[in-house]
Amino acid sequence: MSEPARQSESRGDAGEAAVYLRVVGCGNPHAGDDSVGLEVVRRLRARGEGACELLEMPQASVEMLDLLQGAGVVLFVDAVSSGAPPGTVHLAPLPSSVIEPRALGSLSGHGWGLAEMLGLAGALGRPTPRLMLLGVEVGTVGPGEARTPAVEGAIQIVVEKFPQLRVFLTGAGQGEGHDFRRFPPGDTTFPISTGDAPIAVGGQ
Amino acid sequence: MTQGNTGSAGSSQRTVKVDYLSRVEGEGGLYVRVENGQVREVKIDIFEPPRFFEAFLRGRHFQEVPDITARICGICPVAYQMSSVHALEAALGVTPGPEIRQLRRLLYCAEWIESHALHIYLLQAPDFLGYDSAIAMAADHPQEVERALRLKKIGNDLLALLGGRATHPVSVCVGGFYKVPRRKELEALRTDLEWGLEAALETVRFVAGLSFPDFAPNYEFVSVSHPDEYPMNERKIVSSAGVDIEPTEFERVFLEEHVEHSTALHSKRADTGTSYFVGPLARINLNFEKLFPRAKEAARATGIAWPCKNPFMGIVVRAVELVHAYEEALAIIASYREPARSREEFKVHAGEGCAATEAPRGMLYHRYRINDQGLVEFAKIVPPTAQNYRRMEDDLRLFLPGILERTEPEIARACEILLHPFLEAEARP
Repeated sequence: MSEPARQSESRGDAGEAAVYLRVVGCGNPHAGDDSVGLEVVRRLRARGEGACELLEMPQASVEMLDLLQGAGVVLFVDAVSSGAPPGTVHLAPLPSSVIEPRALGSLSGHGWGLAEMLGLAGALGRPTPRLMLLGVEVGTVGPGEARTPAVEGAIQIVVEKFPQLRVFLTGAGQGEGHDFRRFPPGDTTFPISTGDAPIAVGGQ
Repeated sequence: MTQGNTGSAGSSQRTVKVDYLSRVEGEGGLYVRVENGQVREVKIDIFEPPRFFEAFLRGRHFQEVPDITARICGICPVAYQMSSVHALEAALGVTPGPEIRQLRRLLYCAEWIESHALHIYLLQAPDFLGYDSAIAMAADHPQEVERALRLKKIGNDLLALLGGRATHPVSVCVGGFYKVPRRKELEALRTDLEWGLEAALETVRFVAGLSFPDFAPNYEFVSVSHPDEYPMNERKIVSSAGVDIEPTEFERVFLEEHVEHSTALHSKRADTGTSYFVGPLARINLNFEKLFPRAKEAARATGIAWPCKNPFMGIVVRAVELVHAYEEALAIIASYREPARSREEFKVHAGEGCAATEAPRGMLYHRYRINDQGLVEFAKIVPPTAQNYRRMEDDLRLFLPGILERTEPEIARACEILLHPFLEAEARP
């Protein structure tokens, strides 16, 4: 299990974001496209994205409970395997019956994942912030493999459009439009509009 | 879980099968067959594939080994990492100075704190309080679960400071550390550690008040033993049946073998073929007098007659060791002097070495042979859980006759509760 690596805790300018955003990259750094969440966080950090907190949490653990404290929105960035084309970007409220983050779902160790974290938080009476998933559809997750071009393309779009995503999640009107959205590979309209989003099924 | 009843005229057969042992990392199940009221077959079935760490360590440079072996277990990376370091230092004839040695014990304290807090409150306590999970327990015992989370977090913080991160630490190397902490960095943890010591004492009182089944097999306990210290990272190997050997003799006295029903090896005494028991219960029974004072006092105050043979009471032992780990951590920090250099200089040469150390759940053994380029030619890793599998199956054979009148689901549940003290992660390095 792994504790979140708190390598950047900047909240940015006090008035810039009405809601404090914590971004948590998940996944296996040595398993091809499964590393996408960690890579997004690494690139956001490298370019000095300072108006949110950037954390790495390769896999689910009891320490996930700490992620719930002190944030208005927690955005998990993780690989997903839903059957969509590789490089598809999913934006969904969590917990979701529609899509499951690979590192936080049924594949996690000790039977500990997002559902258990929320269950324990509820049992302990800890408040839960809004939880969102930015999921990137994987192509290959073999050990030691490189990320696929489709996922690399998705990473580039997500990192370039991150300021819009941050405003979408935390700025004025942040309570609206948080239903399930899916962006096909290469769709640069992310995160605001897309041809088939929002999808009516919702995320809960 | 599945179960069934079959039988022909004049005979009856019951089977109890747990497809996945709960709250345990890795994949393993349990199969029990009872015929005419007699336990005929008991199998702990580890079906997750082996991971071949011993094979892919071959050809790697010896300084890569600590980082690779730390990946064997997410709960006890320090024990795997440090066992490899000690074994490789034995191969290379390296002896780090006293400051490094103390920092290494502090590293073990951090891991014991993390692991024991998790095991006591989130793995075993729900069993004894009648809950299916820690989440269910938390609703009725939020104070205890919050205490567990803070106890564990302090261990994480200490390990992150010493090891560079809280899981799979990266600062350890053959010869010492790549980087050692500043005194003021360790001092900053003192307040938390002092809180942790009191919370650990409260933990002993909490678990000592639980009810335990009456069960006390005649075990051969095996642990590391040091003349002056509660065993963590060295030196000899001793047993309650009179074994008293250097780690170099481990493979003469203890034997690993394949069994058909498991991907994990099983261990036994090489001479008698009998099982043995490693873990907190073995450690405390063989080393009680070396506990730190408050830990020893807390152990005595439980009213348990030591040595204790009841495996269910391993939860109490872990709590006592939690006290010890906090107590020793505070003592090490109080006397800490920053070493002049973080690691020893040494000349690389061909050699072979082994070591036994104590993971939170029991003794583990490593042996390596390296060539004159410092590349690993051979690696052998014997984890604690693999050493206990044969013992676990023996315990089930002894325990089951007393519960056969229960329903199959009840029997399955009781077997899981019996196995939880032995398990955190299965052993398939």
